[in-house]
Amino acid sequence: MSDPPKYVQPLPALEERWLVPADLTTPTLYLRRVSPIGGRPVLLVHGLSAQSNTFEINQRPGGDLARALVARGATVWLLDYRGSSRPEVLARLRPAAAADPDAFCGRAAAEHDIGRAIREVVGASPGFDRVDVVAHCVGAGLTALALSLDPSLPIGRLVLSTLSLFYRAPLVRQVVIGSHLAEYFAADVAEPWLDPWCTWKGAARAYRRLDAAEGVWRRVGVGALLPRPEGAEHFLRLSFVFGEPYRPARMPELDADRATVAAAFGPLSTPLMCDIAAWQRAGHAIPCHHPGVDGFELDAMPFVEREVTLITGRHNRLWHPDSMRTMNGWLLDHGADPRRLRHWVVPGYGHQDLLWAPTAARDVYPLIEQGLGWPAAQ
Amino acid sequence: MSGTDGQPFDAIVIGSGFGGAVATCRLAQAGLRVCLLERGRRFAAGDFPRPPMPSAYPDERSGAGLAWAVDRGLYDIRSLGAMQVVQAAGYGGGSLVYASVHMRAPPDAFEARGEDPGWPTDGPDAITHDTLDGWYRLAAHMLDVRPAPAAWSKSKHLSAWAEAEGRGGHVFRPNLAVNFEGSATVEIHDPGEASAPPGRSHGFVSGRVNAQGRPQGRCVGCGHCDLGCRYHAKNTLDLNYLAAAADAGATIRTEAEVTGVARGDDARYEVTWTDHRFARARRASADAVFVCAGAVNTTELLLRSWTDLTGEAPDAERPDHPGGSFGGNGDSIGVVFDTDEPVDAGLGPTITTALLYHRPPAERGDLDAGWLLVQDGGLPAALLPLLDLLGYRLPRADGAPLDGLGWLRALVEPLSAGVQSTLPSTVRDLRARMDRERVAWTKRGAVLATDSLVARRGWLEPGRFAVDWLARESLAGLTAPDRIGALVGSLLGGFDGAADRRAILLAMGRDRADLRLELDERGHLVAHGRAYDDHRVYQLEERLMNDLARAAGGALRVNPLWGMLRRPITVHPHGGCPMGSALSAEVRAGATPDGVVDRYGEAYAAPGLYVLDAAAFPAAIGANPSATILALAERNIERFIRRVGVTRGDALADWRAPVYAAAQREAPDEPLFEIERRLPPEGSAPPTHDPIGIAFTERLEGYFAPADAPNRAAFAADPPVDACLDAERRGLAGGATHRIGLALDCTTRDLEAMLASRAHSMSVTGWAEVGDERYAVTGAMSVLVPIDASTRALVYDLRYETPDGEHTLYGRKVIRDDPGLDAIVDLSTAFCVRRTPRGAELGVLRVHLSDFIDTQLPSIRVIGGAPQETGAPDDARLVVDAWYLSRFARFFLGGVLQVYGGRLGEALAAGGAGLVGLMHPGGRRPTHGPGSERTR
Repeated sequence: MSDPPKYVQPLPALEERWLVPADLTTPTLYLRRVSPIGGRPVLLVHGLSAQSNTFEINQRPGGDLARALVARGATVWLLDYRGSSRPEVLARLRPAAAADPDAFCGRAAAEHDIGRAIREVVGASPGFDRVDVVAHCVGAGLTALALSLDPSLPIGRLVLSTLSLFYRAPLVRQVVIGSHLAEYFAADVAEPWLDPWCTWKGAARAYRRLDAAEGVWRRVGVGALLPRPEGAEHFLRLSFVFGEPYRPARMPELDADRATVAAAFGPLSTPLMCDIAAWQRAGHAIPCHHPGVDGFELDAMPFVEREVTLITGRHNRLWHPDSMRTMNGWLLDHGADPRRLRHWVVPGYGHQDLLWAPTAARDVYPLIEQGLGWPAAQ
Repeated sequence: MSGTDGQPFDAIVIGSGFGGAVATCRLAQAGLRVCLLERGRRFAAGDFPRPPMPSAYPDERSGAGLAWAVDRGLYDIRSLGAMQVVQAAGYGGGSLVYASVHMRAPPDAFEARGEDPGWPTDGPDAITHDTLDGWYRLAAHMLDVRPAPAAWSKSKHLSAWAEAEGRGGHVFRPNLAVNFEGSATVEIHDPGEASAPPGRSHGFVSGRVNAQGRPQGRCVGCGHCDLGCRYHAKNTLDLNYLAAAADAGATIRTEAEVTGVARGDDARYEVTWTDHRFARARRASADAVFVCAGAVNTTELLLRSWTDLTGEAPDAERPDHPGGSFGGNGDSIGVVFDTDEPVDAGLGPTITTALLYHRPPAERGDLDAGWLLVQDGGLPAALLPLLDLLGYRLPRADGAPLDGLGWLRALVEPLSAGVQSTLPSTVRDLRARMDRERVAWTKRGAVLATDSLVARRGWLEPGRFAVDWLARESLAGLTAPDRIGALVGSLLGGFDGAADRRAILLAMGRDRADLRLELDERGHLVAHGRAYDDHRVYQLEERLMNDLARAAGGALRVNPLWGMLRRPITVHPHGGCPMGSALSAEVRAGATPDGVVDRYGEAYAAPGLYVLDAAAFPAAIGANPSATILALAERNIERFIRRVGVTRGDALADWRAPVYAAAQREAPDEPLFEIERRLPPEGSAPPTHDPIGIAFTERLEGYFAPADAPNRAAFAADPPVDACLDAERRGLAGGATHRIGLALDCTTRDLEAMLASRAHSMSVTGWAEVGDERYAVTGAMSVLVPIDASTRALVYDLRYETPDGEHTLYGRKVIRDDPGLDAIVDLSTAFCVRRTPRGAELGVLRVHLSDFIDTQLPSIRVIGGAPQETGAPDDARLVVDAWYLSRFARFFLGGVLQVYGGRLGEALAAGGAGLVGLMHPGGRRPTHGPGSERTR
């Protein structure tokens, strides 16, 4: 395992907590506080198969979102939940996942991880009865689902980045040959210290190369589809999740044989992967195959009552910008005040660069800060 | 809850365009429980999709979000057979993509014209400009309209060209529903449209907060109006009427597509809709339903729901059933290529300037009469290369003037040469592209199929699917516009002038609303009609645009679908549920309804169901219709609310829109009316471009003899064949005094009108040689008039003055497929009756084959068009000639082939012998002597 390169600058943890989700018996939720108690509490929720240091990475030293919020005086909490790839979290998740794969569906993560962490943070924040949440990617979808399932969740302002409760755009529109995320990851050397399967460096490079998408496919060639050992497991997973278009034989039926899927992809959060694949293929981000979930009506009111900010990149091809557009329209239809519901489609940005781009601190963070109630910096 | 299930509503409004926005707003302000169902989505300022542009970002090259048929995008392009329609889907309806022109219909627009019934302008509740005036003012106030403050390059040019054509006084700047104000206190994100390419620009533009409290940017003149204003500088309905509706508590559901309306057992209306966000069917019910889905979709919804609504299947013969009086407001588009000066059509709002042409008919069939507008269109600079699609230019034949049969060569030879030289590379290019995109295409098709299935609920079928798909692809494109332009240019031989030397002209006018929307046997909506019998307004528009193009120093091209297939495309569909003049009370009392809805939009057959959009227009108004739709909806919704008040006995009985009084004081002038006042009594001067016509010379020779007494009565209608042949024989025996020779110039000034009319009539002048004397002949000739299913006729109706009085000559060539190969004989033999002061005579006129080949065929020529200049005709003229000659040839040969059907084909297949047989029945050379007699 190589050393973390210089562009990752973890903030020193002032406090660490290991929590036991209600549906598990071992502590798998990892919560850490990186700024002093007293400021307005803000919880940052990472995306799938990433980890909480998603918010501590930026090409520009000191330019990450966690630091920006600390500078604003927020009490910043970082969460690693059952979708995390943080090694110490993984070590605790694996036995639990082996014992009960179904516990790793999206609904369980939303109900038992996100909700638990939010209540924990509120409990640890004297003087505050609500916590503001910034959630990215799948974390945003899960947080929105958590609030929809439990409207009493003490969330104050909510900033959802790239993914909402909806995912409607046809998959083919975003995943086309040559721009397939898995190819980028396969083409680059995985660095297990960060994620067991990919490097942000490769991803960032990939995003910068979106304009050459078709060219990349030719450059990479079929040989690159044989992933390097470090990235093998997650390359296969990604191919599975995103419905790898050129190897349909590798797409097992979702509910057909979970054991087969688990054997092929390893035990870690495979059901969660299945969930997300199902969301995508069903066309939206509602966990539609979980027992008891089918057919329930989502409630817009918890969102209408709160100050909600929806951010995505206009060129986002991981989660199509329609995810946010649809959520925005849904909330406006149910009476959301346009002054309290903000919807940003940032031109020139895609998905991960909303957090990681060298210019994100200039272009995107102010939108997040505005969504958290801080006035724009002059 | 997400749905509306179980909630009681006073009214449900279907569609959020100009009709629906007014209805929702006023119903909510009146305190009624109203639910608005809109199939499209909401568009935030920076969020409108863009056609594929040359861009660093793949998604901007893909055209995602553009087509309703693909991903429930902004544009819904419907191919209805006789008409193509472009409409919008989104919260705000057509206002999202219209050019913001807010123009009243002039008073005479409401009057009956020709065969069109027109508007109910008499009696109580008349609809005239004066009775709508207050509502026009209210609509103008709500949309905060004003003329464009600055003249952009393209508007200056249109004015200059009109000036050069002597029409300078007839140009005006119409009111636009656009915000040109910016104050420092309001800023919105700059989506970077004015500067290409879009990058990570995070500047701001100044703006304002409108009367409904919604922030708007100011117009930066980027020219993207028709693609959705990313600055929210257009005063679109979502920012005014619908904002007021939401503030007043209306229940609004977007991405909610209505699939059916039915009358429940409790006499309430039950509306079924698909919630696209959750892919679920939902229901809502209300006492009243306002169908405002746009002319096409309103009519389609009512046709599909008619049985559930009324218990009767839609019947095309019934005037109170939906479908009739559908039209396109005379919309046409022209592009002027290679103007003398740069036009910069990409700068400024899409429309800023209009030229009025208004000329009342001086006589019946006056080709110069009409009411139309030509406006300066715009297109974003990045899309200007797309205009190459219109730049078709057929190759010409080595510079030689085209004569007689030459036009056939001109059509065939260069086309085949051009195809041979360009096709291989084109095919290579396409194949390479297809290989690259094959997988993506397959998947796109799959998604398309599922999407359409969901959206259309099983109304999908391959043809419709293909048309929608093609429409989407042609809009979204498979590649960047510059590539399309190059491809098309290489195929058609485009214009090579710079993109900024292209001007777009948008025309619209009063045409006849004579199409009918129907569901065909497979359940698809189609527009039937006599395929635009009356092409006059299109013809007139094209002539006027040609005049302007000449003043611009450029060449005009019109929409190829129109130019080549006579398929108009419209953005202003109207009719389908036309308003009748009968009052509802009269109809309830037993009167026969003369329309689908009454003067207040309420369906005669379904009380409580209202049509408040352009579907209710009984006739075209010519002007951009949005202001009239708004005014009519304001008028009708107030009446509805007041009636609710009367029924309830509450204050709503005197209800009036909140800002009505203020609007009466502040209404802007209508610039169009000032121009109308300036017109001379005889109206605008006719375009100098003549209509395109056809002329040819025909020689005939015949022999006549007095008719036998028993036949005198019989040939009052049709000359009897046997008697004519007998008379011809007697005439031949009688010698020269029984002979008549005719040299006829047959002319139609307007080929399109001639082809479209049932009589296919051409005017005839020429000479008659009787004995040694020559007399001037006038008259008419009807070409290929249908007699019955298997017979057509060429009918001559001629007269000439002789010293002893007027002679009339009535003759018919009967084209019928008899046993034997008789095509040429039929076409060259006219059975005639001649009436002279001495009495009636019978005879036969014949065309000699040598005259046909030597005189008639080479004499077929195109007349009219641009004023002829000396010297060799230019390319464009040759193209026009070739086009119209082929139109005429297709008409003539098509008609003949229809009669002779397979026999001609058999003859052709039999080769030379068969052809000889075709020309010389019985193996004899046809003569005009006795030998030519035949037994019929």
